[in-house]
Amino acid sequence: MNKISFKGSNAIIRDIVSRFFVTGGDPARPCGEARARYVKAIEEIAATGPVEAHTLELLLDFLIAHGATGARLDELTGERADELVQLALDVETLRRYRRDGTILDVRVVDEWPF
Amino acid sequence: MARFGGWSGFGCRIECEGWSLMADQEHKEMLRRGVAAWNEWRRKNPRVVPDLSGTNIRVKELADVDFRGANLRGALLTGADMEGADLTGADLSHADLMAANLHRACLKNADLTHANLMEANLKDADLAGARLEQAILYRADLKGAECVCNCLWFNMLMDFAGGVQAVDRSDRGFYFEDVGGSFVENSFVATENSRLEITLSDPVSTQATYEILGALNRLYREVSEDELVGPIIKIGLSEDAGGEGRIDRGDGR
Repeated sequence: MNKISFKGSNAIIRDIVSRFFVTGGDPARPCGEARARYVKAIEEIAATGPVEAHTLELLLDFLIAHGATGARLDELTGERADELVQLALDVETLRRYRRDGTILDVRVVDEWPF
Repeated sequence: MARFGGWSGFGCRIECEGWSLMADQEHKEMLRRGVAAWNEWRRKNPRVVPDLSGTNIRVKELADVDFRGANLRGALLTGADMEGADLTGADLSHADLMAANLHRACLKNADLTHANLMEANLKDADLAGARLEQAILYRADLKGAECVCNCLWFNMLMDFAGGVQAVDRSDRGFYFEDVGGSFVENSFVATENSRLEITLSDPVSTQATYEILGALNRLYREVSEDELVGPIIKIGLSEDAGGEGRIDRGDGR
């Protein structure tokens, strides 16, 4: 049995699982909000970097959904695009390991105090 | 004692012990005109008690709406944006407020018994004196709200649920005076924390393990002020064998 477990915010953990792990069926689709706001930056970063536009969109949707400020998003799609690329690579890492069977199963378990 | 009053601009008005009741159709029509018009109407008619009980309120943009003392019993307000709304003393019993945004709303002395507040945003809402018996609070966000309760287990539960803080008896906070044993059976409270369990292939490379740990940590920290607790890894041993070890946060790649 090889297992990793974390404890954290229910909302964030569930969202990470639903957006970044393919647990059957189609992978999550970008909701469009990131594309609407950052399409130019997404295309530029994807054109010059090692990550796909689709992944960047998924990632920005995730950041927006969890309250990333406009300033932080502007930063990530501007002068600190390297950090966005790193996070996008992280997303691709998780998806790759899920696809190739390194990650066999992903489960979210609610924690109760008693 | 009820007595008839005059005609308002929206229909027949009945005054009852200083309060007025109007046919709800006019009130619904008034609300359809938007929050600004509604609030202005309330300002001009402070003695009218809005009656929107049992109504499917289709207007969802209700930020800053003045629902003070309103009869919203059984109203459908699913997903409504009521950020900053004034619901002081409103009757919201049996109302459906699922996924409603009640951020910074004033719910002082409101009756929320049997209300469905599943996944509602109650962050920084003022719930002082509000009644919440048998309300459904499953995954409601209660950060910043305060609970007054002398029952230890319930304090623990509420502290765990959506970040609500239990406080000593005071004028602040909301009360669960009469929860009795039925509360738990009939109500639900959010779990704020979850455990993410990832089962890996056997064997698994150290590199893959660390890459997964690092990726999850970075993604989580980007959107959270808190750190992920753990991680805990179990490698190459059965759970029964107790092969569990805490490791450093997985930022190494």
